[in-house]
Amino acid sequence: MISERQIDPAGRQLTRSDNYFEDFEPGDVIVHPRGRTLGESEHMMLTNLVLNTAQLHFNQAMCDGDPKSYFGGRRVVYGGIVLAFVCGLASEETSENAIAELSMDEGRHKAPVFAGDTLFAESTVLEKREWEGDGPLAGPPSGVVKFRLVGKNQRGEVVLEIDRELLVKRRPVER
Amino acid sequence: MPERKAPTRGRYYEDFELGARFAHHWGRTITEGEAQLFSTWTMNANPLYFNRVYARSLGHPACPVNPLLSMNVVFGLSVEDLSEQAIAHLGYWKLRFLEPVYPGDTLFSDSELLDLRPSESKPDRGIVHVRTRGTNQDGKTVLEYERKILVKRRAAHAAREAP
Repeated sequence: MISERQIDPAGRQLTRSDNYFEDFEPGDVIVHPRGRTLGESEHMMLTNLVLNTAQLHFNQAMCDGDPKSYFGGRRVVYGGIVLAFVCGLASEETSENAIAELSMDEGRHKAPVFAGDTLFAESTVLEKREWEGDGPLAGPPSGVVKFRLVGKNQRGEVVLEIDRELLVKRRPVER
Repeated sequence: MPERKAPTRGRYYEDFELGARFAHHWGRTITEGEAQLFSTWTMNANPLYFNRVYARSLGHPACPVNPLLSMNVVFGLSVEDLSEQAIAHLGYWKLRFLEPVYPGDTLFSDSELLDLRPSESKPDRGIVHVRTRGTNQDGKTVLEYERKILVKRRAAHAAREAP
């Protein structure tokens, strides 16, 4: 295992140094700094990219024909894409120094997201624990951090809640 | 005799049976370019998914695929069997990422039906509870999760949708 400082010939550090395992305290709340507006075509492109064939995400005529079933005739954004963006918005503060995503649980889509909505993210540190495992996820010294991740829209309504466990690097010992 | 065929896709609530298992069709190979694109497109700041030098320094032979892409592909492969007639996807439970996925790996998706129950508030829909497993070309399970889907009842919807 080469040290992080040796990766780049210039000694550049490739990840931030304020989001190691030691930097998280149970009870901490992190309001992630960026928002992300979902575009009309990009959510359909991502839906089709992953072979999701549920037409309520990409067939406007079908939604127009049955507004009672389909959110008043609006095409809803596929939840897996909402989850990916909310994780992305949270990533620089939570998972940039993660060496693996371990698990997610208690994930709920609480409100629909539509094109034009802007997503925001907040994380709460629920717990930390030592990592006992090895195998395919073995790597540098690290520990498990469990977060509750919340996604909100531009009106502050919660659209997604999910608990996630990440394997996060410990702060490297400087020599 | 030639005929005009108009197949429909997706299962209604009535089409599910407890204990049913689904070996979803297609399978999908994930390439390096799309894995990196997905990660940066969704603003994921972990260089593990887009910097090969960094990924190798952590012991990986290549950038692992962002697990959210792997999960979405395994999910996407399951939609035609499970949720093409869904009204909403309610959530995820017990999602575990068990093995790294690398560019060039091919993912397959299998599901089993865990529970079925009619909606308490709306008679035109029911809740389908499934467990889905994603495997790679070597048959190794790379991820698994449970999800609950709000699915239309045929009785209430088929007539409404006839063109």
